[in-house]
Amino acid sequence: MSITEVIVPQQELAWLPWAVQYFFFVGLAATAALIAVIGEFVRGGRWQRLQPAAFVVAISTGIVAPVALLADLHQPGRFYHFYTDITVWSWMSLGALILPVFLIGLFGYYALWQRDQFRANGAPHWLRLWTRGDWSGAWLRRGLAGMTVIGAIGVLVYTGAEVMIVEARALWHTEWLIVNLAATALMGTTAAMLYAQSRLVDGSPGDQRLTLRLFLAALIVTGAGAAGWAVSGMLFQSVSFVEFSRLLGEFAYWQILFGASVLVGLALLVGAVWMLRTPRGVAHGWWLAPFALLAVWSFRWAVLMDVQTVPKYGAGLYPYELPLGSDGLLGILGIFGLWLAVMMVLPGVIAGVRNDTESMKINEVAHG
Amino acid sequence: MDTSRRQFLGKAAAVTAGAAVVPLAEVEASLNSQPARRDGDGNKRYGMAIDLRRCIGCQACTVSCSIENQPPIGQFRTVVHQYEVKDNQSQDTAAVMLPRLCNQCDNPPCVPVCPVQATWQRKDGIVVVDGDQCVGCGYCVQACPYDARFINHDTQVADKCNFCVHRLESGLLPACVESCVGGARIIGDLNDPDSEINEVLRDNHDDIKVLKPELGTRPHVFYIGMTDAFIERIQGESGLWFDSEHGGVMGAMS
Repeated sequence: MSITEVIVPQQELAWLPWAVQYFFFVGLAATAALIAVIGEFVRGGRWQRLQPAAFVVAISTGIVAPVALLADLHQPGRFYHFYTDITVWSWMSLGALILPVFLIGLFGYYALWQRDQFRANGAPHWLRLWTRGDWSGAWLRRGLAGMTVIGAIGVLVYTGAEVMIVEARALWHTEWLIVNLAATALMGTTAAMLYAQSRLVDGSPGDQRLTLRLFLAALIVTGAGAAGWAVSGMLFQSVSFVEFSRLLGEFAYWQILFGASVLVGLALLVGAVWMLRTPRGVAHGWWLAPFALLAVWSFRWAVLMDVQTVPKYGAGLYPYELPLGSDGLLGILGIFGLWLAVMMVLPGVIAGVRNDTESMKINEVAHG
Repeated sequence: MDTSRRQFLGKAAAVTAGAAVVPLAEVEASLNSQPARRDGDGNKRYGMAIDLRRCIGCQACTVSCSIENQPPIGQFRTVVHQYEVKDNQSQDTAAVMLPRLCNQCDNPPCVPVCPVQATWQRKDGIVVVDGDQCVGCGYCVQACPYDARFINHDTQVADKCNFCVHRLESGLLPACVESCVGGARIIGDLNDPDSEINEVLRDNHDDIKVLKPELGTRPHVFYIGMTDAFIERIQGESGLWFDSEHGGVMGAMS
């Protein structure tokens, strides 16, 4: 028996590209915050030296992410319903509680960390107010750092879990999604930090090497997560893996997607290992950043957008054409533009900034 | 009525009422579990039987639903899917009509995901949406395995079939049932043993199917006369689709 659809409605995508932007930026914010907080609890210098770059990434993405989240609501003006009607059985409602905890922790911790830096090294004239007062604020800083850790882990868990529990979309319905979203977020964060250390804030070759190693580790964890999903999926015939195998067998698009993911992953792996071999390579490690960030973003596009084009009941794939307006291209560009704008302002504030041409020249020489 | 009898009836009513309340009270609000049902008559359980042998695919239900509930052009709370089915041996072809609507599941996956309690299941089983409370996050649209929900282009909130609950409460039939020329759609109270729907389900008890039963959603739209090939995702040729923004959600495969 063969069946041909004659009249069937197309299901529109309910989650818009805004969701991709939110998942991208909030993942970066959470993982960058975790790296920044390590320096609070692990002493010894090298983790402290990663803090400026980690803060550039965490603060900038932490500002951008909630904007994208708000825009993903079709009724953004009603966001307060999340707080007037707290719904303990909904993952998304839980997320609405976790996100402010994370952001308050992060911004609070950053503010006090920055204050310490300004008090130690002097603040620019226009930021003198930041250093006012005699109290050290150490206990509060530690408390906020702890809050950041809880919030960041909460964000990484809830963003993965709220997608994972949707049984109606078989591809999402795997615990590995939480692992892979978090691992790729760490990959993106370390890539962005490589760029920040080379181009935005002071980063010694040793610091850059550490970041590049973290990037490599994140890549390996991502690969292991993908392998874990595939192997456990094969062994236990998980709905997610079975569905993926079906798509791979039926649609060229998913074959290309799969092939491209493997190739880009391998290319980044080879690139990172290659660059770690020599100091010159480490100094050029930031070249990996745009490619890695694009890969991390694309993974979220595939997970959130491409999966929505797979009919739950119908045959084939739904066509999706990216709208040019705020539901599509304009929204994507707008959020990236906001990130860019924040990134242009932030390094002027964050301590360890390389804002004079003299130090820039010295670094250029050092980086070869 | 003597006192003892009145007391007995009173106690019996209390026990019965308790029985209706107990399963609801047991529903714990753990993550992604069903919240307690609210509103509606707990003594009723609405369901719909659709006799596919009686459906001619005229889309009268689609049109009357659209007139009654006023979804935007190109968006539907109910629609009749149409398929061409060919027997590969005899090469005989036949048209299959499959009216689709919200299944008013007993375990609706769309309800626990809602972050603002804008959608819930009434005690009579009907899953409803409060359009003023909904934030339009689209989470319920993702969670519904039957594609019964959509984000309404006009209101920008979640929308779906609610068995025309406003008509049911006024003693009227849902618009789709009222307009069905073949009498294919039968709605009624499953708790009433004498209801027409129970009669139809009893008469056809060997031939009743629901969509995607393995998901454990326990749909309450029952299909009579449906081939097994339609229980799960359609294994076949896809249709062509048009952009619903322009009112052309329906497609045709030549």
